[in-house]
Amino acid sequence: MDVMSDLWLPIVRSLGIALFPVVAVVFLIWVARKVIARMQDRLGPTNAGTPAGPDAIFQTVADAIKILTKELVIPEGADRTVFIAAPMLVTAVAVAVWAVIPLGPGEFQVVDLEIGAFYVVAMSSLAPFAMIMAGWSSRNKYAEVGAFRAVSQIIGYEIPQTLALLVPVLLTGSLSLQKIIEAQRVPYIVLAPFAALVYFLATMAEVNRLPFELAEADSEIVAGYFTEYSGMMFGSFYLAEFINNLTASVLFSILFLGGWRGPGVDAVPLLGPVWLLVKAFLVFNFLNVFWAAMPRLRIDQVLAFNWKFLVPLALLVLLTTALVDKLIVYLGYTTDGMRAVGLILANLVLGVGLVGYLYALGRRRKRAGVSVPEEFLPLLSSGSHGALRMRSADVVPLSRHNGTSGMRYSRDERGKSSTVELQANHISKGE
Amino acid sequence: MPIGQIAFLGFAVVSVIAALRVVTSRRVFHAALWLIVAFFGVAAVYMLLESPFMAAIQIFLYIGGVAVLTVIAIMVTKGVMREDRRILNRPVAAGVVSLALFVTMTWMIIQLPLPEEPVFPVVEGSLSLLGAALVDPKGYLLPFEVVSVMLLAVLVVSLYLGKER
Amino acid sequence: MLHPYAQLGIFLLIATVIGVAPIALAWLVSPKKQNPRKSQIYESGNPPFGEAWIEFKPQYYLYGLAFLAFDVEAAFLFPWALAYNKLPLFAVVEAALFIALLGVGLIYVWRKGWLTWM
Repeated sequence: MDVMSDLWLPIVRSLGIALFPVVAVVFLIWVARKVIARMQDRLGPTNAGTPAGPDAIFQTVADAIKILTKELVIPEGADRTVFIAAPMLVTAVAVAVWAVIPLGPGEFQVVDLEIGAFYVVAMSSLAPFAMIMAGWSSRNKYAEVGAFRAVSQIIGYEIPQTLALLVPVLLTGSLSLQKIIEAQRVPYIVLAPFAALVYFLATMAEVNRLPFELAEADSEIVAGYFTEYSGMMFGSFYLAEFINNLTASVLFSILFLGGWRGPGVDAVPLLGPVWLLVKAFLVFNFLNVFWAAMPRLRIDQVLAFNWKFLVPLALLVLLTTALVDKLIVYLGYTTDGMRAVGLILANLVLGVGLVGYLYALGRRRKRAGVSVPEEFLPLLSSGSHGALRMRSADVVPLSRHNGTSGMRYSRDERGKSSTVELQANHISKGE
Repeated sequence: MPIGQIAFLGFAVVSVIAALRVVTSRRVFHAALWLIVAFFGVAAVYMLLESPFMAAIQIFLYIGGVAVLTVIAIMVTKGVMREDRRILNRPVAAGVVSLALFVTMTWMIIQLPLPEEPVFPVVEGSLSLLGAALVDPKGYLLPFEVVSVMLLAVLVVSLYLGKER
Repeated sequence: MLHPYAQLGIFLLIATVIGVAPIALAWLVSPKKQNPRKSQIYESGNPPFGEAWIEFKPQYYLYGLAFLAFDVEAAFLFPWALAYNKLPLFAVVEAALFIALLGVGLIYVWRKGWLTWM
């Protein structure tokens, strides 16, 4: 029947593209675990008695089967409907973004919405809800604290992510992801490296990747907002997190690395998805590198980094790019090449300015000493039984004016100082 | 009945029911969640009006911004999370006022001559037209800048009210 | 050819099913042995202390408000970015003014020290 044949292709395509992230994630979780393990000088999943394929490649499948058969425990007094709805929502939203992702030229997309990039932004803005729902309905203090922190982080970093995303939109003149790829004869990471940087950092925070992993902070608040979740409900959160990671990598590749562009795509359209996935895979592993190497930031560091660095930087980058691009056209250089040169120069200037600013900031901070949060003062006792072995004479009271309380440790006469890496993880009533 | 009509009715019913649940939920948190459902319904209606941008704005600003803020406000408020508060303070008065308002609005809307075709048809590239109008001195430039001042006020005042004393 | 929004609708439906399916499957497959110890809330092994729905610091709400201000600003910048290619240089100046007004607010709040957490 005519209607059926009309319906068949879109449904198959939708199903394919919807299931793709789910299936790909099974592979990617294994990749992530292996890569991170190797970087940390250990082996990661190996076969150790279970028949999980060569090099434990089916480890994730085994884990999934295990998780499916675990009991779904709902804590007493928890809000059942909301509790169960949260993991469903988080997975659905993670997959929903894929509606506008162009895997290749032409037909490899579910819908080429004219508001493609904005649709992505709108769908990602739904993520905080699943967290609040999970944290609140668990009726568990750790979960609620975790949910609040996670939500503060996510909504904060949405701003620089959206602003940085406006730069490729600006350069292309369209929100459609397909058009953004088609306009990238020169990938936008060359024309707007700082926008790419801001977008990358903001995305890292949005997908809860280290160093922004405090939503999940295993050693601090148990498992954050999904403390009370067991079995497949936890599995859903985990799955959704990795789908988000994949989506973020793919989006970065689309916006800044040229998407499905690559040699040979004009001849063989099927190479489009291949190129896109290669690029996304590279970005994904770049994220893994960060995971393996960096410690976790505290909530105040996370928020300070966002509001005091990324947001102003994002605004600056957007303005600079807009100004320079218009100036170039104004001055008469309308060719692609001149535009590229102009933008690259502008970004160089921006980069120099940024490095200079950070250097000056670093010097000012080093001269002022390192601030230690209040809770750790008892550890700074004089004498060798003080856990951190700092001489009390070196400790300088911090003024209230700065807004932080605690003591400062400054340099001793020989000019030696030690930096103290501490984490404030107190859970007090009313936090 | 064309499928667009059916879809619209469906979404409208969902929105109305959600709105009702907002005011009748026993728990404030549930009311907030129903509000989000209502917003989704409105976004779907925008889609049916062939304005995906407005639908996305609805989701991005209302759900992703206002609703999140509402939920945070609820959780930050003391004592509001207790269950089983009285759902409606004055059900009779509220019902009468709502009905009167609804009847008045319906009567006013019926008076309007509804055109058959859209007055301004959806143009290709209508978003860039919107953008151009926003920065056009003969267009909406002044409101555009005033919005910025307003946002400035919101930012400064909110952080002033909450600074550590 | 099916209308694009209908395709989007179908996709969203599929996405919802993908969201529900794992949990439904798990509910079918997993054991259900209720036990008061198991459903107790986790608090490092101790029985839970006090009412769980305590109130939180107002700072969370304020960061939310700051976020909302910038959220609206970003939403306004979207149409501008789309029309950018057709606009004169003056339009960039106007947008710069728009951003600068809010940026000044951010810098003011920052210098006053109101952006510090806790």
